[in-house]
Amino acid sequence: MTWLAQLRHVAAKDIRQARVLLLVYFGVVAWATWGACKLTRPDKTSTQGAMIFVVATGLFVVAALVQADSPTRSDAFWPSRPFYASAVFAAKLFVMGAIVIGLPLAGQFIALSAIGTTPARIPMLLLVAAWSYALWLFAAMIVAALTRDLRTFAVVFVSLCVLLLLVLEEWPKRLQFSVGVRTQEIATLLGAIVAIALVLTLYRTRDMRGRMWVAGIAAAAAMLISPMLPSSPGLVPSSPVATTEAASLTRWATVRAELVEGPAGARRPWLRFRVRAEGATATGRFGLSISSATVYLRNGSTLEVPTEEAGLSVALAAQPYFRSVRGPLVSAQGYEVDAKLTDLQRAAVSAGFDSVTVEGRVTIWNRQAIATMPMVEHAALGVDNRHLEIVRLDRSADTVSLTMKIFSVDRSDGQSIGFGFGGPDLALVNETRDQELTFRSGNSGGVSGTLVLPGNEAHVSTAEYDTAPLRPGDRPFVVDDSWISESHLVLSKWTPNDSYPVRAKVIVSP
Amino acid sequence: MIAVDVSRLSYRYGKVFALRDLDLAIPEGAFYALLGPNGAGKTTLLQLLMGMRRIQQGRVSLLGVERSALSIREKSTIGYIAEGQALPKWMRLEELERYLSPLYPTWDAALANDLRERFDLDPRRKIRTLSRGEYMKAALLCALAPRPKLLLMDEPFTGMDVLVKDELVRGLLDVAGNEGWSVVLSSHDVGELELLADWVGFLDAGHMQLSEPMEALRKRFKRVEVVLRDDTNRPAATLPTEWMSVERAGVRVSFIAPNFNETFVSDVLPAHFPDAARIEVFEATLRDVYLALATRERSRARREEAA
Repeated sequence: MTWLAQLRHVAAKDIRQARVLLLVYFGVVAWATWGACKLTRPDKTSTQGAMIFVVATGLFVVAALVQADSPTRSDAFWPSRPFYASAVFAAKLFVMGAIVIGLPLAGQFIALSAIGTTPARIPMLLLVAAWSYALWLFAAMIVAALTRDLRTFAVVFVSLCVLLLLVLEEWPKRLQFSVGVRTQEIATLLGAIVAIALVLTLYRTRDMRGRMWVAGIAAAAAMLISPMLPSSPGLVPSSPVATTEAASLTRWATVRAELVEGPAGARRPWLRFRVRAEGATATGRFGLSISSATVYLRNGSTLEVPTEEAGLSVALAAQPYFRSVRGPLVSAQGYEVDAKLTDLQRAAVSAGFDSVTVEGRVTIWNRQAIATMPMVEHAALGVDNRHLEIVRLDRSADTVSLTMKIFSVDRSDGQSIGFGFGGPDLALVNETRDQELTFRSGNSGGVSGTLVLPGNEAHVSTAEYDTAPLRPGDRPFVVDDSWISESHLVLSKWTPNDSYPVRAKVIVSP
Repeated sequence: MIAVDVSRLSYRYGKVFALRDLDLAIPEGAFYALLGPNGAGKTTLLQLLMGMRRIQQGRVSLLGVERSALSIREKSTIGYIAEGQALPKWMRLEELERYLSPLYPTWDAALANDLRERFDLDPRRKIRTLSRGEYMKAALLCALAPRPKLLLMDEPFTGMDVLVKDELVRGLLDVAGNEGWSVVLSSHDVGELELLADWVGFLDAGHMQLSEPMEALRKRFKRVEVVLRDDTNRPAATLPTEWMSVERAGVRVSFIAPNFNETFVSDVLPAHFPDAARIEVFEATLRDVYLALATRERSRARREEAA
């Protein structure tokens, strides 16, 4: 028999041997798929958490497959027969890939399609899910290879998971430990390669010395732990950076700073400023961060005090879509920043000062329309890896309101429910009449849930938006059904594209 | 040609040696009885021969080929049966035969049918439903049907009733004996081995105490019974230490002489028993030799432990 023929022969035997278990597995996967398909319309029969049963049953199936031809048991049947050890192992991998992973992957595909995931994203999501699941299965494969029976496998595997959870709970906190996303991915890949090589070595050499046990448990732990390690937020893909081209278009912000606490004689050992950037327009807004304050003392010397932390002041403009209807700044939101003083600095400041300046950086954010959709109920749109659907649309005398269902599926550690902070702005635009209404976000809520396999998480939320109540002079046009039918919903986002240093004189109240 | 060639083979479980510097050569066509008490290392040795354990130290060749270099075709000429070996219990016997037959180019379906009928095995029965005797018969069937050149058997008769044992032995003899296969059979049940074996090896505490043809063994080991005239003469403790299983009851002394030859009767015995009323020399049975060797090794181990 050739190597390949042996692989097929053993795989066929494995499937026959585990047929009852596989049937149960199929049932669990079908149940989880049915539940996942209903994720976007949850009811009493929802099966959230079914993924855990899929994983648990899958681990059990893999353990049973490996132990059916154990690489380490001295009374195993296969080593006394003319089998290629690597073909026996490859048969296990084949059944694991084709059935144990393939079956729920098909379920995941059905669920992803049923809940409206953008087709282009499905292959990558499936890849992530399959990989996440495979890591668990590799760990199970190692533990099953090292243990005598399924009961011992279950005890060792559960103990290992509990131990790792305890370690993960405390260890990263104590050591301030985190790894980069890329490091995490490389470590996981290496761990998987080591896991496969280790089980293959066990099959080939039947080496059951203590060192193999240590290597096996370490590799299984690496499989389980690496996806759960805290990853460094600094390595999350950043927003677009400023460009030289954009710098030529720079508009300058007016920075307003006010001393709110800490003039001479104050007991508090800090200077507290309220700062904000002004001058934003409909298509550009400013972010402001203050890094230090300089105090010009009466004796002619200066005192530079770093601020405690950089904050962000965003100058909010009204949200007209058209430059032609660019409105005035309707609100400017500032923030307070503290400059902590030492005892000597406090004494010097208390003795009196002539003036104070704050130094920092202004970031210019520009607005970009990212999508448009018809302003009708059940209109749907895929944007920013999210699926949007207008589920309700109301118009009263002075406001227009809409309820939007926002749905997304991503890696488990991917994103928050709905749009979260920094989500797009919504505006109802009538291009024919060159008019627009901006929306404010109101209530929102939602659920997150797993599908059939780990690695993908679905988020479903509803968000309510309405236009600001009518104020005299705010809206020099009538919004009626015909106006709405001519208009469409525009989603726009703010992206940073330039920044420059600023220094502003602080207003000191008498 | 040497069917099994083992050189300086050692194997440890943790710090305990199961086999230590073991040398063994079994000629092709031999029916080799591997004897030894429980824990002697017989199972470990056979598992190492079969590649079911990793060789820690030493060298093993089977049918003239280094074990690690055996090709799949060469492996298919080696059969193995063990008392504790796990057959796939979920399979029916016919399924097991179907599963195994493609692996062996020499699988003889007619022989399999013949053995199944002779052993009175129902091919449709699942392995898990077979009695212990039937289970071993099924294992024997699967080991013999490929017509192996070398057959390794580890305690195949343990716990079987006499009838089943007899059937198995006859089945084995009929097939293996006629075709000149090499057979290594480990057991501590020496009764059957006496009839089957033409070579014998005694393994104890990981050491090969002896390994020689049965004929040579029979010539070398004799059971001697001496009747003394006076029971106060010559206490057993003063007899040579190489004499084994020395027993004394009144005027009768019996022992196993391990190196019997012509001069033993003419010179050695009269020197130790000058006033013997009667000296009789018998063929030592394999059981006698086995017990004598095992008892001597046990005593030596106790002495070493005490020291």
